[in-house]
Amino acid sequence: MVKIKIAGLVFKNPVMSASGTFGSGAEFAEFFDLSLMGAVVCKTVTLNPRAGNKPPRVADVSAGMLNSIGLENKGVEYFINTALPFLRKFDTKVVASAAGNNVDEYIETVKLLAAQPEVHAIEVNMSCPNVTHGVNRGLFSQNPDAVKEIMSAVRKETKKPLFAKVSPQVADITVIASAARDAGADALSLINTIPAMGVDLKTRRPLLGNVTGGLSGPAVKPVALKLVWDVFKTVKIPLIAMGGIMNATDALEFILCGATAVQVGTANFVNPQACAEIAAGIEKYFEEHKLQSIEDLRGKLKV
Amino acid sequence: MIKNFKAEIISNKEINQGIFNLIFKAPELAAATVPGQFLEIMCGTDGAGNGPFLRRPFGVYNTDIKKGTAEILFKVLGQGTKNLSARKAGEILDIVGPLGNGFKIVEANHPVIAGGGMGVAPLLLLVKVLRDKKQKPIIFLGAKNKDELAAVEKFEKYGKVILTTDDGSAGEKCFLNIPLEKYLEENKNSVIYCCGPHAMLKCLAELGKKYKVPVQVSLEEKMACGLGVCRGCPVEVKNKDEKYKMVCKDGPVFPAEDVVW
Repeated sequence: MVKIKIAGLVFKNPVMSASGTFGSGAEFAEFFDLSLMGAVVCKTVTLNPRAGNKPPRVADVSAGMLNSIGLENKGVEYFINTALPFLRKFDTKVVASAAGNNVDEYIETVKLLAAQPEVHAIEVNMSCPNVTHGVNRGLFSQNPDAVKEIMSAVRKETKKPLFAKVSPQVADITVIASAARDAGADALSLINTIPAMGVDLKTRRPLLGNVTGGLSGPAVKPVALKLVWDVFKTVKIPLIAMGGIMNATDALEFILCGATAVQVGTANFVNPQACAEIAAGIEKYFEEHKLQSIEDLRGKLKV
Repeated sequence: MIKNFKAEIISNKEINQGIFNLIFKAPELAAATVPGQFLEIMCGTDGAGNGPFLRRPFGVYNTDIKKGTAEILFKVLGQGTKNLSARKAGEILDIVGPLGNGFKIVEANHPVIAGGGMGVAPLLLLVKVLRDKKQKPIIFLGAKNKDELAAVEKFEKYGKVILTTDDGSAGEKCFLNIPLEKYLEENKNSVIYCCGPHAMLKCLAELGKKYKVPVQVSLEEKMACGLGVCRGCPVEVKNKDEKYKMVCKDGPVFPAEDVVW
């Protein structure tokens, strides 16, 4: 088994679900045993319930999709009461995902999550493109000072591993990565969806009810690979990579560019067995190439 | 039980211009599906590699438990349905289903069925089940024109069919709510099961209110996972804890009075 370790926490393999594409796993447990995954990264929760955006919330585009869900969720309390008892049944790691409208909400949500024994690690989502934090203020993770403020605040609340999930749409991703690391993040999860939109010429309307949203799927993979590579070269922090991973080959490419773990997102919508198949495919590749550990492949891109 | 399975295509026939009836082998699905449920199907690519990225939802049109087959009825609208229309007998489909909650069958001597355009698709299985329960459905089918009235003869096997078209090329020249309202005036204690364009469903929801008849609507929304995970296909509802329900998992059939029209 291709075990990995992040901040002392051992994951049985490098495959995790990407937040927001997997719920808390219940729907996918009908298709495969969640214990085959390195971790289930749950859908982002916020302190209070959020209704989400008006429809249409999804659109099909070339080699991918757009979404503007708007962080719909029933709040952290509901998550603790329903998702966590369900996930206890599986031999996998549970990563909760938290977001907020301000630093205080991040602190409160992380505090509540960290207190749950079922939660092994927390991903701090600072990069949902469908949530605005005030006019012209952009996403939290587009501003290194905001990243520093949020990450150092939540760091004080827990010793459990913290992943900082960041947006790809920044001038220099290494500045954001350094800010997260300096503020105590144990790993960087990248990339969130790329801010994007689509239009219908026939109706002259946007494809999404929210007008703009985030692009995901195979279309974003080359962008994500480059950002992972950029950070790997310059900032020493474990990378949890995602962006258009549809199969084990895609996942291995990210490991080759420096990722310690990968997250499978949009692929779950097309192939409900994707996470299990990718975990098996990585295992097979490591056996075939006689690789002993993740370090035998991680960042070994020949340039 | 929702499954992701492969199914061999038995036939794929163009029954009206641009409207296809695709039959495939799926014994488990045929046995498990209730009327109003749907499937998420990979539509594949054409010769030049064009195809949708996501699966496409299709209502289950018909099942045959003895033969172990299931059917969908679809109109070629975009690249996905175009690719699906080119699939041939012997080829394999990748399907997830059965998905969602179907119609809730209630006691009624003469339940009203209303299908607009391709909204007829999930209703055939429903009228079959109603007949099995000794109910006598009255079926209103409406479309733009004669060519878009699909599968009328199949419905005629199970109940009285009343046709309407926008151009008068078949049946009465009007929307189907006109004869349907006349029927409601004369027949109390009915129930309406319907699927079709939003405006039609909204109109029937209002008729249901006016005549105090429960209405079940099968809704459509752009969809990604089909499983309730992505939260991508909301319908705004009233008098519920949440503002939105998901068409894929909470529906696609909803009581009309719950929907914000």
